[in-house]
Amino acid sequence: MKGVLIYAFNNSSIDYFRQAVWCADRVNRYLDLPVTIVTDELSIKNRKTTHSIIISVASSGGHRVYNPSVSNKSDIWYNGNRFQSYDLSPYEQTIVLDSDYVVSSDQLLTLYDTSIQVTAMKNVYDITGRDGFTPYRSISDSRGLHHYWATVLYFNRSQLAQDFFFMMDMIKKNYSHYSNIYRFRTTPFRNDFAVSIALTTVYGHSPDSVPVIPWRMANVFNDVGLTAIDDDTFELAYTTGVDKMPKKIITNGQDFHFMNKFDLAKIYEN
Amino acid sequence: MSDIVTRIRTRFDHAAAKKSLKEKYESKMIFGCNGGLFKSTPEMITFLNLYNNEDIVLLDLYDTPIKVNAADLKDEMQKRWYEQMNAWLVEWTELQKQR
Repeated sequence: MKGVLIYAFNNSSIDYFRQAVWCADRVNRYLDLPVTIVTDELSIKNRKTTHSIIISVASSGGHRVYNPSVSNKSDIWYNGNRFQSYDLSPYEQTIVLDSDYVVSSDQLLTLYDTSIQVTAMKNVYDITGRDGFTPYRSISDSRGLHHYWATVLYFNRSQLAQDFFFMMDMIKKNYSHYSNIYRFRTTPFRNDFAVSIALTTVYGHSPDSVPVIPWRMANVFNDVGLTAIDDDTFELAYTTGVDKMPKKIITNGQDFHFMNKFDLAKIYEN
Repeated sequence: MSDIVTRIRTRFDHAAAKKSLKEKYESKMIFGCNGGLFKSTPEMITFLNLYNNEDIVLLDLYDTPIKVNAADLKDEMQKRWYEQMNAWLVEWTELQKQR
């Protein structure tokens, strides 16, 4: 059985549960797959949903600043549960999605046709063409470990996938140790970094042997505004250059990772 | 008021749109067959024309050898190529009208 797993633990800034339900509705529509949301009672707030729910205990990875171009206000970030995916997923083949991944096509179905046991996104592009993700090519300047994105993970029931999530858990529990080895910040805990180290390790410490998702993920930075034209079509607004020239682009039938949680909220709350 | 001014000044980013369309439609050329992932390209379609309805072994995008029926794979690649390239053209033509 195929399905999608989404984590959603609210903080005082973002209603991740509502965001996850919006994302899950789109998965149902475009992929025709069941979705399980891993969350807690505090996040659900007695709301009903048609999607399956698994109750877990929120694990914090520290504080994060959500939109540094607007404010330095930070909030607690409950992002530390992803290592549970192998144990929690009710599916034989699972895609773990960030709730801010905007599904607008059936592209992800391709992953279920592969015999790869566990994989993630490595190659991304900035949909606005401003190349805002160049610094994300490696997780460490000095150690050269590739940056893999936890935004979309695929795994099947296999020893390798189980080892991968076991490794993620170990990295999370010993995060300062790994941050010393790979020279990245100790806080907040980053799933991207745990995924990068775990994937590289389970595939034999050889970055070239990691079978990554074979297309580039469209990423949209957190300073970009979002307007829904219809279910399939979005307008992205941003500025370029020192004179901050306002520009826009339209996407249609295209999946993208949208990092401006506040603008995403305007859409799913309407 | 400032929102209105910004909207009027906002220009459609044709360069970014062109790049984004290329990424989108190239990704839609990828599909699964017999446990492997393949990408529809003119080179692959031409190569598969060398074979009839026979089983051959090809390396997929992960460099894994996969046994495929050449005719079936060619049909799928051609179908995908025509559909996606035509959709790409339609969308590109539409976006060129944006200001």
